[in-house]
Amino acid sequence: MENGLKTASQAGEGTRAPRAAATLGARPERRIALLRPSQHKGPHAARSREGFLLTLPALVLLVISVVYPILWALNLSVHTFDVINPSRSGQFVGLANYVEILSSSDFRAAFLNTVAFVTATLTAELLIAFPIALLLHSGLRGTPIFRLIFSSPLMVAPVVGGMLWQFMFADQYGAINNVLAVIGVQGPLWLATVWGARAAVLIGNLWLAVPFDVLVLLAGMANLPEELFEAARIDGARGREVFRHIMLPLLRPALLIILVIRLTDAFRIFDLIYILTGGGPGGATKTMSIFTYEEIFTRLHFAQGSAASFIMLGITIILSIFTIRVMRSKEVSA
Amino acid sequence: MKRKTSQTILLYLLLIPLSLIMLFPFFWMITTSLKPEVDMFATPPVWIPNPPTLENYANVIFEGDFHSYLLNSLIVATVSTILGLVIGAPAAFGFARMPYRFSGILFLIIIAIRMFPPVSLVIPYFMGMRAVELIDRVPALIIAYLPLELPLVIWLLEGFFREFPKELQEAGEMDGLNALGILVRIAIPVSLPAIGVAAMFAFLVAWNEFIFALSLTRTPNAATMPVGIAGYVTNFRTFWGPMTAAASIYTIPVLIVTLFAQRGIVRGLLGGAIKA
Repeated sequence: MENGLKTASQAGEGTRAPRAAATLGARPERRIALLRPSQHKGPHAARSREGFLLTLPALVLLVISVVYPILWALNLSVHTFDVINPSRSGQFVGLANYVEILSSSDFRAAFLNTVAFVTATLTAELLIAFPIALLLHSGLRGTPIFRLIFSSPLMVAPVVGGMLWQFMFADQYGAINNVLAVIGVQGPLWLATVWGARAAVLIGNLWLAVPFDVLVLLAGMANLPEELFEAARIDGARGREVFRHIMLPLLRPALLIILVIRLTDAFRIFDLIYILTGGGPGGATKTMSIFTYEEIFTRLHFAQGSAASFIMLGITIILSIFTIRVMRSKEVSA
Repeated sequence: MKRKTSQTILLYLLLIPLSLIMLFPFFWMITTSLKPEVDMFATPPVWIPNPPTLENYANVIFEGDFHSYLLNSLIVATVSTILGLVIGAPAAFGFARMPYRFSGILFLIIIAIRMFPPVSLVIPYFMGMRAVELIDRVPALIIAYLPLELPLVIWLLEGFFREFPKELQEAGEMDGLNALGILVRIAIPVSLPAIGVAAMFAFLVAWNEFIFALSLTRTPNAATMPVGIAGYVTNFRTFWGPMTAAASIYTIPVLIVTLFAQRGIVRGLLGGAIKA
């Protein structure tokens, strides 16, 4: 295990960014080197040709299964589409579908719900995962068992998570309000109220997502240079100062991985909400994925649904680039 | 560093309740699945079923559609994983060991596919599958899951093949092996643990996937477990006994894999950022 989680040592020491960060653009030197044309002839030219042939099946498959469908959907999003009356389909309308989506109050509400959810969950995840990771890093007896416990929901299907939390948030027979009753608290009507449902979605998602954050942070902490902390302690630095000025900067690569991966994941959340609240009550937990899905399969607005999905895609790309930029600029100034 | 006993106790007082919260949904899933129908809606709840019953499991296994959902999940995940490895492993080896012009940028584009919101592919897939009459048929999901699994497999194995010793590659070339020969005869046999991680990861992507399954299937003919569970939750939200039994059968193997192959899973999530 220890041996396995070497990432962050490299990350921490800043000698070599972890691969995830490198491919995401934090340390692109190696990638750029690959872009240079091969300067050697002979075996290298042969290798290049063979390399191309090895990657060809995957490239062809991804062009057919991703690039072509995306272009097709992009084309659909600037045309009319009528399921009932096909003769009305296929007229070019420019950006009209995009305008229709962007001006719909439903979409704007879903957009705001999504932004609020992403902000809330990322903040809460880190605030919860950081102390847990520190606890698991403090060398207590039984740490391996606790680590297993805190990683247990890691690969549970979000659908199952949604089902279990719906059951637990039920108001009469639900486990949560009954546990709260034991300690004398009257639980709210979770899934039937606007803020109760939002809190339920957040809690259900935290259960699914915190394990990932904890494990990435632990991987980062496992390889922090111990001497640095010793030196700081000898110099009389207090725990909080050590954490803020030594540990946190060294964990930046791990935090970058968490932010980029969790940001894009949280932004497209669908499964958990679909099962837990269905976007309700009254659209209070409707996110952009749920909105887009309804646009397609409930209202049968395929062209508008396409436009909505491209708006989502655009925002996802901008957010990822932004996160990487912010983390990199801090890295430089640190 | 020595810690005071009082400090140690305090740390445990934080860890233990947090652990119990983490485990509670699993505890509740399993105990509910072992409760008889009469205990299901008791207030206050029956915390420990007494006596436990396996009737919910019998219901799920011998009646209803859950065994079809489970079988569909198994078929879709297994076949798509095998295809993903057969196509993805050579690509990863090519990207890692035999770079060519633009291979770096192509690799980056493949990784970027992982960030796509899947809902943006739902419409073209739905329309395409309808056109070739694959809606509600198992091959549709196998086709839909390949582009989700391939980038993962390539990302993960590329990182691993990067560490493959240069000398072995050159020895293979001296022996007149072509790239595929080096991969199949030398690289794969020494990389079986990494291939196992990639396989597990691809399998879990298909096993847990929901939005494509929901869009492309309708009946037990092709629907997978997540769709089956979703149908029960949204249509008959009171069958908690059979539902938790089905969820247990579906989830416990994943839980065991997560616990025993934790290192591999973390590596998969980070796409080879962590070395084994």
